[in-house]
Amino acid sequence: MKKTLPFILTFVSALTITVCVFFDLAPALVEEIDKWFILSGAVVCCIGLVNLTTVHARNIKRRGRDWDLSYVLLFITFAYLVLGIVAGPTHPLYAWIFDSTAVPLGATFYSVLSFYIVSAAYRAFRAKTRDAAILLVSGIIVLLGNAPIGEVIYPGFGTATKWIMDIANTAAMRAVIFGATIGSFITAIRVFLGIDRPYTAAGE
Amino acid sequence: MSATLQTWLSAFFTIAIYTLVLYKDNKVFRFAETVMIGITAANGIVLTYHNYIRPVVAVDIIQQGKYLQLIPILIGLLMYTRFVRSIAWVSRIPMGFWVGVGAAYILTRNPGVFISQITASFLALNKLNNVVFVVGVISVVVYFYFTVPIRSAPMKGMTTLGKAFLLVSFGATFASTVMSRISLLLGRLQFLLQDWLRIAGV
Amino acid sequence: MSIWEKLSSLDRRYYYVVLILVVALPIIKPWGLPIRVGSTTEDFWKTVEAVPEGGTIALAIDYRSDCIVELNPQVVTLFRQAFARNLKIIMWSNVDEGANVTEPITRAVGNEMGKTYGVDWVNLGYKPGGEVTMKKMVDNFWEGAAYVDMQGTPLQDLPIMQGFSSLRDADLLIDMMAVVPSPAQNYLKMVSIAYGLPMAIGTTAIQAPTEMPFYSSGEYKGMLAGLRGAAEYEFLTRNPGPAMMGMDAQSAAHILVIVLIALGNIGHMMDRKKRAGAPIGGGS
Repeated sequence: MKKTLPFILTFVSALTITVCVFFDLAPALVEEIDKWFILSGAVVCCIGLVNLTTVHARNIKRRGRDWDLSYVLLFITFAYLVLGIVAGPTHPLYAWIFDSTAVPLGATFYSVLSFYIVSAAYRAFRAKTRDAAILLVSGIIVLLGNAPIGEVIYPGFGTATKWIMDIANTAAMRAVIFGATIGSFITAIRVFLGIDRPYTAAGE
Repeated sequence: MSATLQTWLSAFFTIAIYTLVLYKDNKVFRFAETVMIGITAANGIVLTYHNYIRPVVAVDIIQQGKYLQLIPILIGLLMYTRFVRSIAWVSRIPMGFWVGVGAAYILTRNPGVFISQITASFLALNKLNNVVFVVGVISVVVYFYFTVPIRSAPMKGMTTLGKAFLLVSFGATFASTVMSRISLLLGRLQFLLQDWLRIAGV
Repeated sequence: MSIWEKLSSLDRRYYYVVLILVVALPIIKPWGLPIRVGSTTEDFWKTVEAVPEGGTIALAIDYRSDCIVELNPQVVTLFRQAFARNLKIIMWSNVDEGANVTEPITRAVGNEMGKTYGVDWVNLGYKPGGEVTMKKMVDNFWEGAAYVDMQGTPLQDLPIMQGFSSLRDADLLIDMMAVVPSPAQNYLKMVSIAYGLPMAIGTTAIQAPTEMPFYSSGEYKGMLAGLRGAAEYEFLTRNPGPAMMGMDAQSAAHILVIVLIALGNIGHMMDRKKRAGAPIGGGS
């Protein structure tokens, strides 16, 4: 029951859509299954919130690390959630809070990586082997070709970058796509036949 | 609400994040991190509710009386059983459904993309770049061929060439990563210097 | 201690300060380096130009606040080009924050160019469901879009939506994306290849190499890659903006990274030479 029922659902939904789409049968049925897929996925939107609340409530109870921030997190999350549910996502206050917090924070978080790149540029990016040298030379050419200054220094950097991106990179990436597509296809067949059952990890 | 206050708040949060690298891990950074998690978590739910769940329930179920739509809602709700250990296995039911639908679309729709990529690799070998391209694709495919050990010299040569193509591609990806990350820093500095401090032209 | 060893043991924060200065100075005092427009950007521009006047662009927004620096200028310039040609834009997001981050910038362009929301463009907000929603938008667009725009206005009250019942009714599909797995490849799979709808994309510099095979094969009619792509697009449409202004700082930072890589490698070679010359058992 615990393993068979999910597999039956997988098999039936996969078989129905595959047969109907391949042979162009019962489009209304496929559309209904699509709708079920989207709607059932949408109602899971609160799962992260439940998890977040559980983890931080436990942290507050245990007086764990930064338990005071756990209070702040729960307050901000639920206050913003209530505001959004009551007023809607385009309400001026809701949008103002989003633009003042999530936008600068999101944009800044990932920019931190630029500092690590610069530090690593001196300490780690070494041409210790022939392979590393190929990677570095290609990287440096593309770095120069992608910035306007590269072509000011030497116009050939732009042409070389275009060659690397259009020919060498595209050839390699296309072969990677072949491998990935065959891999995903085989995985789908294994899931279809019940050889792989990724959903059995849930609830263990 | 005031645009000036918004600018100052944005500047505060920007600098708060940078204290992690320019100083060290500290409470101000962790506060900023907390705010981001809270706002982002709530926003996802608000948008899903207002832009999808509420209108679908209002139109499909209440207006049009499609009560069958209650079934997918119930299927989705089963995911929450994973928080109750004794019935956590029930959450496999929606997972099974989603995995089945996902697998079906891989089987029916991925071949279209795959075939278009194969077709595009058949280039006329009348230009040097086309020859290099085709050799590149084949050599990288050979490099990823693990079914039997590669012993013959020509095949070994192909794998070496394939690795070289991959390394050139990784070099391009490395440069693109540097470019993207620098762009993000640039955007924050543009904000701090132009919008907040106003010491640079807009 | 040699200069190379000193540089290696330097507190990493010195590097960070140098990076901030190198990026900040060209922002304060730009150099005005020339920008050459690449073929991917030119093709993107031509693809938008090829949409017949009064036609509709279906625009998927698939990025979050972390990539606004690269993607927002692309979206703003697309709106300017489209509105200048009286094209209509129907946009939505398959990524939650995408709807929030593009709402203020697109509204600003619309208001500035005298366009009317609901007539010339619409933001349908966040539509969950990934690739299945993409297919649903072909089968029945209104159902896929859950019958409302981001504000909750019913689609039947929006003039732009009249007669638009499937993604196939669009003249061009554009995906502005910066998430993994690539939603653009899903649009190819579920919409563009399956139904022959022309498609173009805007993405970050990081994702450009992995998307190149689809541009090269002609699946993507055009591609904007990162801030450079945005700057080229601004230049091409004569709409100078933050991307063009950032190119000098970008150049400076790239030179810094290259100089540091070169110094690091010279130091490494010196170190190796020194060790090779040291008597056996004599070095640490």
